[in-house]
Amino acid sequence: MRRAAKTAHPWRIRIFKVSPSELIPPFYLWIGLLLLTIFTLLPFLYLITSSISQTQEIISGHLFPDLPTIQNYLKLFQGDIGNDFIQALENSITVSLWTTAVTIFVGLFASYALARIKFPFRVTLLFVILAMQLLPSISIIVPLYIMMREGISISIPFTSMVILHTKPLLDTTWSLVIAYIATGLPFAIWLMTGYFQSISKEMEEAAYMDGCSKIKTMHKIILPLALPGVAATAIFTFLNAWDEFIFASAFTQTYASKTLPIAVREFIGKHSIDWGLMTAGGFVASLPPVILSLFLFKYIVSGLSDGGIKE
Amino acid sequence: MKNLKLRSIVSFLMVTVFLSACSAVPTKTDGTNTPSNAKTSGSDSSKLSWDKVNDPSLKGQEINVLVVDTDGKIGKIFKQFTDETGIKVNELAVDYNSLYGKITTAALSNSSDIDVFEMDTIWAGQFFKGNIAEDLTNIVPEDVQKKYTKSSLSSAMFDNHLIGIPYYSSTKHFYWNKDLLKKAGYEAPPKTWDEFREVSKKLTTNGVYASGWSWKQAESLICDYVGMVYAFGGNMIGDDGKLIVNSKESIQALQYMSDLINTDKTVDPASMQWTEEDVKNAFMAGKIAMMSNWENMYPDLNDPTKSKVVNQSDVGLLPGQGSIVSSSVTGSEGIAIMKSSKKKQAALAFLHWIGSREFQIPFYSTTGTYPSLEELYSDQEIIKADKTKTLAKIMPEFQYGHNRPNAPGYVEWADILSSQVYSGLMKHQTPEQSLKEASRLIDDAIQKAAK
Amino acid sequence: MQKILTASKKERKDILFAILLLAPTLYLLLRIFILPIMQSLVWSFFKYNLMDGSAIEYVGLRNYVDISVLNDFWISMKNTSYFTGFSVLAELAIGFICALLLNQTFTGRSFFRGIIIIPWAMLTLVNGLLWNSIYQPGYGALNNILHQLHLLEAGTNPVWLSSSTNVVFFAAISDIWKMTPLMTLLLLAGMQSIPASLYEAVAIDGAGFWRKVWHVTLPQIKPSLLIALVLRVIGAFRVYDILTVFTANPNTSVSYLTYNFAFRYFYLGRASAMAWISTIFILILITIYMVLLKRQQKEQ
Repeated sequence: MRRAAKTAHPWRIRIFKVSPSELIPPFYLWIGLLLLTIFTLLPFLYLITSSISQTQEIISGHLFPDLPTIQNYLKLFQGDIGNDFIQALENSITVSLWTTAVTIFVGLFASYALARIKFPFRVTLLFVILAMQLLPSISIIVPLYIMMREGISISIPFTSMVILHTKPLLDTTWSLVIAYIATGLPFAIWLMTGYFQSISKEMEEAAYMDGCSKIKTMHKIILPLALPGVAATAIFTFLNAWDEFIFASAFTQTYASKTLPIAVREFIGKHSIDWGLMTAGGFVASLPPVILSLFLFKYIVSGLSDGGIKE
Repeated sequence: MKNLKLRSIVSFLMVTVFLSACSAVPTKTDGTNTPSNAKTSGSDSSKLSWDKVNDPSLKGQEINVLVVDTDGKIGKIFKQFTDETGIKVNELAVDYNSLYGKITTAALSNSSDIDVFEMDTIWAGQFFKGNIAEDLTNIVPEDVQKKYTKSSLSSAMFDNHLIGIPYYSSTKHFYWNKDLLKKAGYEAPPKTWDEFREVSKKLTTNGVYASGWSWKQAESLICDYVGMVYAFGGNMIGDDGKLIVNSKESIQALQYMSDLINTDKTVDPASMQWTEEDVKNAFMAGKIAMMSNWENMYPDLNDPTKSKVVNQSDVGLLPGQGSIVSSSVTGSEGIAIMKSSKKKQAALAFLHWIGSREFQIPFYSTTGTYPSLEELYSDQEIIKADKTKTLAKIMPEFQYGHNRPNAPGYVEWADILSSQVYSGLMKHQTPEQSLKEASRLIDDAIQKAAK
Repeated sequence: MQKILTASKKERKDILFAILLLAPTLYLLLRIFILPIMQSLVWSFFKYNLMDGSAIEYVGLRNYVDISVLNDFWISMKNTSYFTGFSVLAELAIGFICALLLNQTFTGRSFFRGIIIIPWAMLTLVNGLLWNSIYQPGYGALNNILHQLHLLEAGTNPVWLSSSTNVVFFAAISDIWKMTPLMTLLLLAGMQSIPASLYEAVAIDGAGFWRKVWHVTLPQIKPSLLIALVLRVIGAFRVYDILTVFTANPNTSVSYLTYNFAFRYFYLGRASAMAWISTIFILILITIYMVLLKRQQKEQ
């Protein structure tokens, strides 16, 4: 008996022991991961099984179809519906990628300034930038609609010189990109400012002392350190643009600019829902963000902190 | 630095002044006041004429048409109009739930992007009073108006004004599962609500409920409720389109609904979470024996991939009560012209075509939507296109259809009413209390809006 | 102001640099936001009922008074606060645990990191409809599973969405499912910058799980934690679309009520006033938070 207990001991240690730099022993870790998987995937699996079920089976309460069918997916990608859906998919990707790229680019400068440079009214400014976002988006929709209809002119501030006057932007993907940048930028700045602030000041100052310019310091030292935060912000911005409905509904008119939330919404009729198409469309629509996140996760994980400091 | 500060203050003020000049005080949107720089004929409504819809000068014009058309079938029919008249149609297709927001955003920004739009019956008052839709009362000749079914014409009217051309006819109908009724010993469906109650008691056995309803707190509840109030001899619309809420008959109707679900327990309790789609699903699953639902249930009810009750169901008149043969609610729609449109005569030509045989027949044969033109119900082409053979059973209900009120405040009143009717059905209060409360709240809302 | 005037040359240079970096952002936001905000402010002082043909008139603060005595407004505020409090706290707790789990080193980590994004990647409308069908009394997955696990008696078939409190609760569940990944992601990114040496240092003192969390993780991720919190409070407070799938009862959230006032009843004046009152409400919340943040910065 004693021998058995002795041999059990190392095994036990292995699943309950935790390395000094970690927090959770493997046993609890895997229980946690199991629960996490169930919580995350169960409703999603239900969506998938619904999308390969016939209506008849769904309404009789089958969680798994006896006769799976890919009819809904065929319908989603064939014929007129297919053309529209693929067009919407393309529009969504274009809009979200542009929005993310511009937001992150512009936001980086602003959040660096807010986090790293001491200047008066800094916190107040941060506050004002966020506060602008608090008004419900419905109260700005009509003025923005007018702006998009007339086209946007960019002028040199405080003069009447116009650098650029665009064509009317209604029913173009640009109208959405502009609206999403405007609504997404403050949040992005907030997030990135937070991450910038949590980077130790010593490293920056050391680089600064070494004769690096401000821009160079920012590029060489701060950015790599903040990369996990920037990547997280990028996912956040992308998904917000991906999911936005109210502006998209107001500014789009045809499939030249309609995005996925609009396309999926069209599976709902006045008194009915094409549930099969809806679930199939919902599944397909969730794939691009997941793929993008997997790609960006590399940066979240591989920030300097992971390789350089942590190990 | 001081200089900088000063300059920033000045420039901020400049920006503020500049921008506030743009926003300034709200002004009424009124299409007739917008500068019309388009060199098109018929931009003035007084010149609009039903006789000039075939005017060759309209050729080459382009109109933007906002309709619910999510699978593009209707857009294809529109091409015929372009072939016939030379007027180009840009179809802006939306889903039904986005339609209202789309129209109102365009109207609020005083936009002429949309020339023609689809209009649900309950918006007619708002669009007329809000100066969004063109008044067609004196433009569409009376003998033309008479050609439409009562249900579809009244849906496009508010306070004796014609706001749009009738687009299609729609009411709710009575569907029943023949097999389940036979099992309970009934060959024919109930004719009155009293009979319905008796039949229901026998039909409710082992997991099957006699009926299911769209009683989720939403417009779908109002639809069932309105039909019921008229069945009990009540009336929902008073003078100038206002809502009558607290009448003897409406209390009776609500009491009846409450009895079905709370006393007899013959209604699937899930009804309190259902819209029309869910009711249809339950019916197709064989979980309920009878339902009130819109047309277009066939061919789905007989499609084996969707339904478990293939060829078991039938459709006919909703029950009545006493001297009332039947009573239903309408869901017909119209097509209207945007007041701010700059191409009204071309738009009118389009409306002329929408209300004609040339559109209504292909419209029915491709989408199964019931025509607004009365004469078409005996038209051989329509009867030939009726693949589900339900036309003769569907049509009689159209003469018993009742409109929901469509005065400008209706949308708000309906929200109040559905909340109170819902709480009455949930037994949070008695039917008398709920309708009294609804009446008080609606009066309150009317007063506040007028203040 | 005194500060600027007495600033040294280096500080001045810093300020100019900051202005340069902020300029694109400020220009963009001024261009796109100031006009709409002014518009909405102006409307809130007018009687502006678009759809009943009545005249537009200046009414001063009457819209604000009307809204502040409106029973529905306070019910919707209560429901929104309930929704916000419940969902944000749950998201925070679950998100924190998930982030801790995913911050460990173990085989198959990228798989788990990949799947947590899935709920967040769902379109809001699809998410709402999915959960709406899960909550269906007849054939919905919830009752189905509860029946199969024998947690629910065979004959019973509860109607989950039968009252506004229930609707808010179940909508919060679906919101938690969808938005927890955001919390996880933000916290995970924050945890990445915690040096392993800090854990090792307390581990030498014999610290276990709780002490490590309390003394190392929490203080280190505080900035991202607070920001994630603000972000989610704002997001949850504006909840609207998911509720429209579950009910037509606008009292379930203040955004829903505002939307109805503006785009269904067209009381544009009163809707604007309502938007401003609820905005000021969140503004107060955030001001409190800002004060906390400032105090925290001073401590550092």
